[in-house]
Amino acid sequence: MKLYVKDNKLESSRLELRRAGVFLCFDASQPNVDDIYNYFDSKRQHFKIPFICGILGFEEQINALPGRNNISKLIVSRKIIQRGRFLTPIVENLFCKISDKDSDLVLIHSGSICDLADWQDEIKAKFVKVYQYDTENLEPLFEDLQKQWDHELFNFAINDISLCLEDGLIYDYYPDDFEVKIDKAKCIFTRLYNENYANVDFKVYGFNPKVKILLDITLNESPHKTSEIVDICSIQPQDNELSKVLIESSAKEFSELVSAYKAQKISPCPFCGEAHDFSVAFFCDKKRKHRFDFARHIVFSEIESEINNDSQYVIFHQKNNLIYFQVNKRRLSPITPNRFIIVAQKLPPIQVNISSKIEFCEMAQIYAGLFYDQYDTYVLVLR
Amino acid sequence: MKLVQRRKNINPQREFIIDSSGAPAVKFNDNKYIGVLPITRYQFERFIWKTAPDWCHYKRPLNASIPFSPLNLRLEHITYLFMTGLNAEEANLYAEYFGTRIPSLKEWDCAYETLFVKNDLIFEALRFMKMQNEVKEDNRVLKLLEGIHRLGLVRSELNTKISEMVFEFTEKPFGEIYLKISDRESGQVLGPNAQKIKCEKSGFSVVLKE
Repeated sequence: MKLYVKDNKLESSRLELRRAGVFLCFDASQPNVDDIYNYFDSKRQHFKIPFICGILGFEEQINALPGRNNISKLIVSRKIIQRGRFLTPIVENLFCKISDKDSDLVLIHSGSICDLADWQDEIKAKFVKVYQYDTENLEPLFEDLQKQWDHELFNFAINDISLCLEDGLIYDYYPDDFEVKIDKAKCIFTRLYNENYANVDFKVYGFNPKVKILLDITLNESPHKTSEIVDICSIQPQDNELSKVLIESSAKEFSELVSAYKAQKISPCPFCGEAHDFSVAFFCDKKRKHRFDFARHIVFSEIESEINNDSQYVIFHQKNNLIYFQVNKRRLSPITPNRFIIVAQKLPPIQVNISSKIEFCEMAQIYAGLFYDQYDTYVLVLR
Repeated sequence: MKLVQRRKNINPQREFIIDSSGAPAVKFNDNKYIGVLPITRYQFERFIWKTAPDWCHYKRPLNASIPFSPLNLRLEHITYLFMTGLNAEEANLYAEYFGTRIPSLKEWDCAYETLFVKNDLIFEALRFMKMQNEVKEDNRVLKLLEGIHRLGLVRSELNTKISEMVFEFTEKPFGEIYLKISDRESGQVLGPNAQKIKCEKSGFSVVLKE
């Protein structure tokens, strides 16, 4: 299992979940050398994984070039069989082309590799797993080998993915087809996959210089289905001017608020002064449908469960980098983004009815200043 | 010195280079350099895959060696790390490929007396190799040098470990090849017939061609 993160600061971030790459080394004395290469090359394309191929005793990479099916000719012309089963030429010339722990090493040979013992430390440092197939005394059919490789090497599928956002995150856009839920004060997105690889595109905003995303991925790797925490990656916040201003100016205050909030789970409501059990959850999405669904889910589920019967709401919108509050349907004086957290906390208790046009919802820490999307109207949910 | 890759003075007395097989050599006379170590299995493997000689199925000359990692070097493994089991013709082919030749008896005596009895030669060669950061081949020779240094062996002791026989050569080619333990011990004299004979317990050294 390998996780690649591509961070495009102007658009979105992408998580690419793949099987680990394959570094194939095979013995030129094997029959069906062309078939072996073509099998792994097709798997590489299907699983979209990095792939490097070398022949034991030969220092050059076998590339997927036109004429790649003529490995047999190459073997004859370069006397590769006489070169013997040595790993050293590959170690010295090809190991440097892969990142550490990026690939599995697949060794296919007929007879012992003379210098394999010399490079155990390098192999251990470089590869996730080593698969070794010594066919000297087996003489298996290529079809049998294919089945074995299918079962052992490429029985890889991603069953489902959940992304858990650490605090301080705002989703401006969340991946298609993901279900959203709030659990243990975290915003979690889940999706069933059952595919050989997955790409997850999203935007992340946050107040920390780097934002952590906890990935929980259920894999179907032979022989057992396992669920594990795969990785924690850090993604830079989007670098547009508005979020930059907000992040820089609010980071300190936000951190203090969050710390204070975490220190005392029960905080006095800045509006009514009463103690409420604030949840930690936040959501924002430019996609109207998702936003509305989410808002409806959050608000009405809480109302239905009677845990939020004292919720209060503030309608506001942002324009030209200024935030306009609307309390009791009257516009207040504009507040700069830098100031709105503090001012919001100093507002007197207000009474606002639930809007029938909920476009944005927040559960507790919205007053900490986590929204920034201009030219949009929101509803704050205060409890 | 067509195959000299780099040279650097460690001290005024000894000058080292790394030859094209990836092993250190030390200057011993005029412009002559001799391998600090007997030819290792690693160097010979390089010869095999670089040249892919038709005469040599690669497992045959390596049969006398047991592969193991140089990092796990122990005293009892020393024998296996150096190339044995060759006849003179094969040893000469190896030497020619890397631009070297087997030393004459006179050259061997000179190198042995002036360099190999020095206790710090292994350490100096190791220090030299570590300074050559850009060298990627042969990393295993470097590890081997580290192992020998760790075991506290000096260069002259390697001869004893590899073989207890002493060979002297009266004419070229200097078949099987070089070992000298002490002047008291007599050795088997091998001439041209050495090309046909293999010796399972002897290694060989080479000097770089001028």
